[in-house]
Amino acid sequence: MKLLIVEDSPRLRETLGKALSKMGHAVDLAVDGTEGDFMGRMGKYDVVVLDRMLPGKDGMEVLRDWRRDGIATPVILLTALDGVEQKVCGLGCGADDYLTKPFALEELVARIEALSRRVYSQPDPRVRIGPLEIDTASKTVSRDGTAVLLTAREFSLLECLIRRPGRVLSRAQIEESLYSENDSPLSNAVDAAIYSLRRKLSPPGTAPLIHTRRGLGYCLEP
Amino acid sequence: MISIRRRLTFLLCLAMAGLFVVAGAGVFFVMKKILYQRFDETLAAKAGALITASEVDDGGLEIDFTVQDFAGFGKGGEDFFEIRRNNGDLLLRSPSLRGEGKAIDRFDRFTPPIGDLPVFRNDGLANGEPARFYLRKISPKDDERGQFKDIYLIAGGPIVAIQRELAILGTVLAAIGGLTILLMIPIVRYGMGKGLRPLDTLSGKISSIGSEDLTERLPTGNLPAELKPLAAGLNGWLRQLEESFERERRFSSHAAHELRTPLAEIRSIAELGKLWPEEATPERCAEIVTVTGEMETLLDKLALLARADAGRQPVEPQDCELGLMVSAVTARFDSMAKERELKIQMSVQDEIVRTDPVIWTTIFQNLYGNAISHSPIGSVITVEVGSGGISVSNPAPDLTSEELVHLFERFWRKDESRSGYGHSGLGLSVVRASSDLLGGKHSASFPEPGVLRVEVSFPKSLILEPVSHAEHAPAA
Repeated sequence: MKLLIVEDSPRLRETLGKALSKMGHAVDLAVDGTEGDFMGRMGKYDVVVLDRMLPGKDGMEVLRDWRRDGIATPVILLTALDGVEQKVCGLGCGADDYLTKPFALEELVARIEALSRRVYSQPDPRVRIGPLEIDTASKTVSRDGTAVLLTAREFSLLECLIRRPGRVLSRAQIEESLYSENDSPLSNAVDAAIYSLRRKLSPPGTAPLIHTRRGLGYCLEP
Repeated sequence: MISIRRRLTFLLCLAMAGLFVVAGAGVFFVMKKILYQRFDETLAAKAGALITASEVDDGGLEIDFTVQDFAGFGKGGEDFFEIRRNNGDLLLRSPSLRGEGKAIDRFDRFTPPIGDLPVFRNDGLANGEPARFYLRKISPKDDERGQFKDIYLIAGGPIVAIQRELAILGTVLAAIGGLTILLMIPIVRYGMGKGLRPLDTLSGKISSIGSEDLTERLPTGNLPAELKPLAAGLNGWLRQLEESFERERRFSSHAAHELRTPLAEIRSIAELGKLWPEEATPERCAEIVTVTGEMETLLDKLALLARADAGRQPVEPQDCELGLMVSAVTARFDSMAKERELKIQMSVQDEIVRTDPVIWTTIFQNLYGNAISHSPIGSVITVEVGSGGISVSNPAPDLTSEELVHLFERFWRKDESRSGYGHSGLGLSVVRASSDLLGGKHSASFPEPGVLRVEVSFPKSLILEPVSHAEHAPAA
């Protein structure tokens, strides 16, 4: 998943960025409301984690402007304000979820994933594509009942493909989804990742699941 | 529990019963007087008829029987008389006394009247019947020889009828009085209940106001005049309570808010280390120590404010050298001042003052620390310290005169996002609270455009004596 974290507390911002990157997500960081607004408009993010009180441009203002301008990126508001009226106001302004500080990292991740599933109309974290069974909550994959061990990056790539089963994803789309602004992937990074994933999902003698569409990209189908 | 209604009902009933007894007794005695007066007038008239009709004939005293009969002294009559000499000798007695039961009575027990005026007195007849008597000296007609100069008339009549009437009157009055008192209790209770209903309503309204709805006010429109000041006073109290609760709520909310972000920082760093042990680096652990230190500072400030608000912050004045206290504080900020390339112009009147060193240092540390943190890089900070007070001036180009009034408010910060590390927006409110504890006054002003001057002045009583050694050298 590609995520944007807009948080003015450097410690929190960097720690969250690090943790979510470790989980295989591509994470971009913005230090204030103005930067967050710009990045949210320019990049294509699966979920944005937006602090409510930000220097430069207030988080609520950013959110209101996005919704007014038709930017429907799912947003989780992160804030130290825990009053009911604050939550109602935040959700009323277009936030998809609301998380009060301090929070458990696991809860934030669970909410990000739940929100992402909702957006891609996959309410069930378990997805079955042919012989493949993928659990996006527990991050496990199995083929015909046999567990397949994937790295965080490989799982992230698989998630990217299963969100659009049967559809062809271009190399650029995959790259945008897998890598943050600060990552500088080599030109063949996506091909290498696809190769690695394809090898793990389809051992010799089994039908391939990831198919290459020449000049177009890749798609996942049984 | 004492009940106003019960007490007022009791007092009112008691008062009305007392009034009724007095009024009843008055009616009774007036009636008694009237009845006796009428009786006396009638008896006097009858006696007058006897006296007029008395005459001496053939040496004997006589009274015409027709007159006696007509006046009611005849045989079978209710009234009676005797005429006696002063020595008690009986001269004449009415035929009515010769009837059954009465003849046995004799009126020689009465002493003759002195003077010419008639005398009335109550007495009983021999048969126990109560009677009233009229005694008067008389002089019969035709007493040419003066044989009857020492005689007097004793005329009387039964007063049973009067006493019966009075008894009936007394009984009626007592019965009406008792009944009235019995009826009065529920009536008074009802009246009291109706009269005190606004008080009950007010009491119910007060009871229904909880700490959650202090915005409610007691209605004063339809209240009786006696309760209006009470309701107005309670409304004033409620307003103060509401403000106090709101202040408390805001304070708690701000305090919780200020603590949430550092807690989130600590938690996320700790969770990162827990999930990926290689990320628990010494740098991240040092970050946790820094955040904890900031939280401790915040808690110290909150605790000081809470103690000051509750009047529990002890003030222990002692002789303190200003120079020493100032240098102890400035030393803590030296590295930051150097890092931010700030120029400090410091003037310290090195005197001994009598003050609480902890509170004084808190004031100076917050003023000086604020100036060091918020002044633009490379700017000049002017600090003046003396027994009369502390003043710190520094450039504050972004601060407006409208914002000046908020400077001493708790948790107020120019940047609403509260992203300034180590700055909770409590520094100047701590200065205000500490200054109040020392009896000082705080103020903020713009002595020139873009330059903020925050000043705390202390009462002159703080000055004890100047210190002999040289004035504190200006820092950096």
